[in-house]
Amino acid sequence: MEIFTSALALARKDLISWFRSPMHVLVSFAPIIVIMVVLTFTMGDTETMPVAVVLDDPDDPMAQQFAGTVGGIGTANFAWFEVVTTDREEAETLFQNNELLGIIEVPAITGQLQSGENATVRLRIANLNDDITKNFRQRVQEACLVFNDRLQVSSVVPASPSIKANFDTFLPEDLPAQVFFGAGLVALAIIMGGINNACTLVAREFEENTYKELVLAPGTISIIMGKWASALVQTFISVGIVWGLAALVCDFIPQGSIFPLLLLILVGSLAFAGLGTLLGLYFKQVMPAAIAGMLFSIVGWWFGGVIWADIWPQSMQGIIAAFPTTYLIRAFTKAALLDLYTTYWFDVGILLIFGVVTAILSYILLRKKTAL
Amino acid sequence: MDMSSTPLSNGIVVDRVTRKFGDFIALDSVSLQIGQGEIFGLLGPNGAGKTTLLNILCGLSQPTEGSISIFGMTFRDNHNDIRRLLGYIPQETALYEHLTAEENLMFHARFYGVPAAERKARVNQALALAQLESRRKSKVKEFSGGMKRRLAIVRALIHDPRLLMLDEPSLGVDVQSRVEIWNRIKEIKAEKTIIVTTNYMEEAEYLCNRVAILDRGQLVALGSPEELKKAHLGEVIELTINTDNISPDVLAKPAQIFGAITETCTVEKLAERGPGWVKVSLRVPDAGVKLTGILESAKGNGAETTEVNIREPSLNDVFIELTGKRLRE
Repeated sequence: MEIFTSALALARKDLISWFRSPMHVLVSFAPIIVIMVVLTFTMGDTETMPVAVVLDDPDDPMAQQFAGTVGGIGTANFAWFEVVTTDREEAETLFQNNELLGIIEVPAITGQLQSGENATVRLRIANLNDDITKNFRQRVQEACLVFNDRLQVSSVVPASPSIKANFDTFLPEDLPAQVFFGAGLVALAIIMGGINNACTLVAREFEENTYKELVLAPGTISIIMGKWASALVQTFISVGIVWGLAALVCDFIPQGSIFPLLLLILVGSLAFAGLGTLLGLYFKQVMPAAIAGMLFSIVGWWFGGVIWADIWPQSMQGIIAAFPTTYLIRAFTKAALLDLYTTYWFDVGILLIFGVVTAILSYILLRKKTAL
Repeated sequence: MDMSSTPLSNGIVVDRVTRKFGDFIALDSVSLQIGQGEIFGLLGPNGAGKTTLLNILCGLSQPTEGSISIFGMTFRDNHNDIRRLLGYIPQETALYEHLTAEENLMFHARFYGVPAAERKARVNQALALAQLESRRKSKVKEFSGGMKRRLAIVRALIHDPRLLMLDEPSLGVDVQSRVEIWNRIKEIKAEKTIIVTTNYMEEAEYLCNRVAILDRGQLVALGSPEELKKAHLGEVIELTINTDNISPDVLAKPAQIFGAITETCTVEKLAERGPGWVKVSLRVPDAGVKLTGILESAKGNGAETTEVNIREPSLNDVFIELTGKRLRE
């Protein structure tokens, strides 16, 4: 009972200090706002992709139909492609000048399809960066699927996709990219909040020499419990702010129940607060501890898939699996975007194990650092 | 304090404690005992090992060799029990700057498990003792150094510790605040054992029943300030001498001024000098008896004495004698 009283006293003290230092409150979520702004700006540039659709045989009816599909595909908010030209010569010039993201070359496919054979369209991509390339291929793939669906409905040709998928099309078709990023950013807020709030709370005690008062009191565990409780409250607040902004800026509205998401914020905050405690104890200074925490958060978020680990190549999956961030992002985005819980409890379990391990390590390191 | 009536073994026992940091020996086989109810001073120049010993006594550091016991208990067997009995005020005043004086004290009371029913009264008592009642709602960041130090001292008392450790309690505060802090410590002396590390000899003389002087990690003296002064110095004679008839060679070695008499006393230093005069200090076991011989020796060597002053030695003199260092070196 005494341990809980001490832990609550510490949490209360930390929260009063936190609320009286607006800069500290701001720092807990400001980096995510910066990322959100950058992503929103970047996504704004790539919403509609300028392409050329060049037909080998301009009179081929199904090639024309496919070109029409490419031009018409998109979401309610924006078209995926802007077909700038269908003229081959002009397309080549624009492509060379980097004014087109790609050229879609459509052969005469009517004969092939009517005879039940697969047809292939050729993509030439201005691979400025991996994201654009992936996005471009994904959108063309989607155009192929839509085209094939229409063929099946009209029973003109036997069902057969024109282009094989080059990567897993796991993402739902009807959600714009910014919604995915919105979910990913909220997940990042949980990770970054847990790590940075805890490491700042711990490191500041050393930096301001107030740790001696804490470690001389009976019950070392109450220090860790108190710090985690403070970090939890701070993280809930910063996640709430980021969530609100993600809803406004990225149209991120969860699909399913809010409770699994709240549980993930709770478990995720505590699990990553453990890592933050370790960083704070190791560095004993706010700045290096916070920088290390931020680097881990962003690298972990990135390798954890940003929005979905499955988008990365198979060769990277080993690294991805080693990051605890992967499991939080996967559980959170699946639950929030798809109301899907196939791996939810597994992911929560991994986070709990990570939290317990970091708690034990924090306790050992605290005793070692303070020679208790 | 009558030490014969105080069972030292029931207080704090430091037994051949050595603390090494790599090859550096911060404490070298230090042994001492502190009785219950004593105010005990740990003196020494910077780097002598005072804070290291204090950290070991409060469990923030562990001895490389040797052992300590606090009121008959050891950290190994009675870790939390000892913690409940300790109050520690570190060298750096470490308060929560964004909290008010009252909030700082209330946090400490809660964190150290003071029963809820007693907290308010204890906080009020502490504020009164620190003379900060009128500033109870002020944030600590608005306080002066002296106010912060007073608050830090009373904060360490909130959970009513039996053993209070103060590391340089008046370091960095002005003279007026220093006296106030000493008075506060005197007020809380009752029923508590207090260990004070300090660089200020007047602080040690004012507060402490007994002192230990550490130098380079070794215990070089232990006893009451009076005992140390008597055992190590005797009295100090200060002579102001006209230097008109003294050669610079003699002045370079002032013991030459006094000839054979220096075999029974110690010429300590040229305390001060000015145009045509120097002031010389001599430590003499029996100043009343030796003074005439000293003056005659000086006169015989051409040194005319213009002023004579005999005084009791201070703890500062003992300190310099034992460590070879002036304070704050």
